[in-house]
Amino acid sequence: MTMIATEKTEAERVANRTTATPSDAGTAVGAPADPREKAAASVPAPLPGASPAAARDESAQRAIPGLAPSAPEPGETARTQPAPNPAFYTKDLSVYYGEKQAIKQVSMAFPDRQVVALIGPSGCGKSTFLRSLNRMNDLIPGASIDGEIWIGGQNICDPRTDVVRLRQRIGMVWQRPNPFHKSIYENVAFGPRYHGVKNKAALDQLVEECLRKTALWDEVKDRLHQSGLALSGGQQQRLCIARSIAVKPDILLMDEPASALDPVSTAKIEELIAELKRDYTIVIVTHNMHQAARVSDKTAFFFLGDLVEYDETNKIFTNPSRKSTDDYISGRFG
Amino acid sequence: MKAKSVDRIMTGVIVGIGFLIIALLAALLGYLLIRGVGHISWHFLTSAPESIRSGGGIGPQLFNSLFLLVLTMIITVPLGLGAGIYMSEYAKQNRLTAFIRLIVEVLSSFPSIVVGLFGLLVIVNRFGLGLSLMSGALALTVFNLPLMVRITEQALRAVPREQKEAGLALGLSRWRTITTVMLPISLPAIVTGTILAAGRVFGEAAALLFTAGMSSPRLDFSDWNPLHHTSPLNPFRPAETLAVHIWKVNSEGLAPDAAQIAAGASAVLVITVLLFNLGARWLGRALYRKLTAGR
Repeated sequence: MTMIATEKTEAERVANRTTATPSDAGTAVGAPADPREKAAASVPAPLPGASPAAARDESAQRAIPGLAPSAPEPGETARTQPAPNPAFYTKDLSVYYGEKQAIKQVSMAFPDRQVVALIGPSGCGKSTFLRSLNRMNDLIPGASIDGEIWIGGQNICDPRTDVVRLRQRIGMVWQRPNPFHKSIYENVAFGPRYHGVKNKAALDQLVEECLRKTALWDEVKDRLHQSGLALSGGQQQRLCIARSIAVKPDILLMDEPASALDPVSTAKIEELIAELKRDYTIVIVTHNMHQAARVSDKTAFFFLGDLVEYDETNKIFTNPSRKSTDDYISGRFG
Repeated sequence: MKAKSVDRIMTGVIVGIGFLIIALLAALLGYLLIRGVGHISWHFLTSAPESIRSGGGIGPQLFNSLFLLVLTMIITVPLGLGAGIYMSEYAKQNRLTAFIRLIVEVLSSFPSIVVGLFGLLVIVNRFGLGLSLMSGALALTVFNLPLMVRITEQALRAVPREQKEAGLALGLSRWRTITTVMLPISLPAIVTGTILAAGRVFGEAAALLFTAGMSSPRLDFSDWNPLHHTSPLNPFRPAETLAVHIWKVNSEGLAPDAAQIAAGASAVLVITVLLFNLGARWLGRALYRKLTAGR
């Protein structure tokens, strides 16, 4: 029952979208049929919030569709989905470790300035997926990547991509807090200075701003030049967030940012995420389903390398379309 | 209960072994120092050795040892750091690098007398460097370099992966991540390893017999032009080091106080190595603190 229902909304959404985009008017007839089948097959989930057919057509026409699916669509679509512009999206993204395929052709769009939570049992590939988004997974010997990740009109899977520049635009926060073995000040100032902020006053101001944004300023302002390692775990994690926003990224990737922290620190991090989403598009991997429900706007459920379901967080947790999602969030496995 | 008594016994055994090692070290050091320290004087440390009369010193030998150490380290440290960084951060993990690693291991466990012969045949004769400090330094590099490479490689590998990733995630280039994030963290380990390598250089005798030579020309310590033949800084002169001198005095010394000289020189050698260790450890910590804003 539920499955059929979502297929409909999924198809509806796609239909709405394609008709709303003028340039795709021609494909509007054909498009809904295709995604419906795909939705039913579910394995390579369709670009949620975007029409795969449309995107593909466009990319064939123009070299860089950029945010093709993001064409302004007032009125109609707003009914089924708030539909903010995707900050970035992946298309048929696969990640391999040697022969083993860890991520199977995942296509998903990340709406601008929203929080997307990736959930799923251990080993389902959610961390691998996250780490692919800034090509960090390349560092693992034997890891390779296939498919496309479009960020700001650029396919970052292209071998010509300057990953060093790319990573400046994508901040990252790890499970275990990993401040540099440097002073608190230096942890934050390090990135901007490397990227050319040399002026002492400007750096001071930037450090304060970042520490204020992460609610750390009042706790550390008297000991800025002490080691960042002397802070508590939760403070260290907020320092790491301050460090990553200091280079002014557009996107923040968080890999279980609170799972090594106590409940109070966890609450602070969650508050912080809610604050930060005003300025950044956030993708967070979490094992904690309550956390996903609390902090995210959209939730994606991964299982065995597949994107099983991706929808509004509310819907995933109250009325998921797939049985395995339902089983997972209700704790029947995983 | 059984587990508990086993635990107690094993703890006792381990503590016993620990004490045994300390006792051995203390006995050895004590023996060397007690026998030798009495002979150490300013005159002993600075004057030239005598071949037949008593009252000779070890001044040139001490200087030669230190100079050789510096020369070797000037060659070894940059090469070793570079190769270590390459092996740990840039080289692909494949058969070739595995083979290189194997060779590095083998090279570092070469008997030093063999390295000395190699030095004699290749560096001294073939390259025509003669019995000289430079030949000695190059021969020492042969088995010091692998050690240095391994130390650097392991020190860098010990840096948590998240530290490296954090640097890269900020948009730092790989090289900058290595130099500004990873090297400061691994510096204490690298410095400690370098000291061990230096200690080996300082105490090495066998590899130097055929490369740096067993004689020292009369040195003019007022002439610091490295191009002059009698200048102590000339790297292309033969030079007998302290360790070689101990061996020579012990085996063929004609001076009546040969035994005391050997004892005194041994004590000096040991004390110098100790000072080196302590000093470099302190340096490593100080550097770490400076680079990382303390703990």
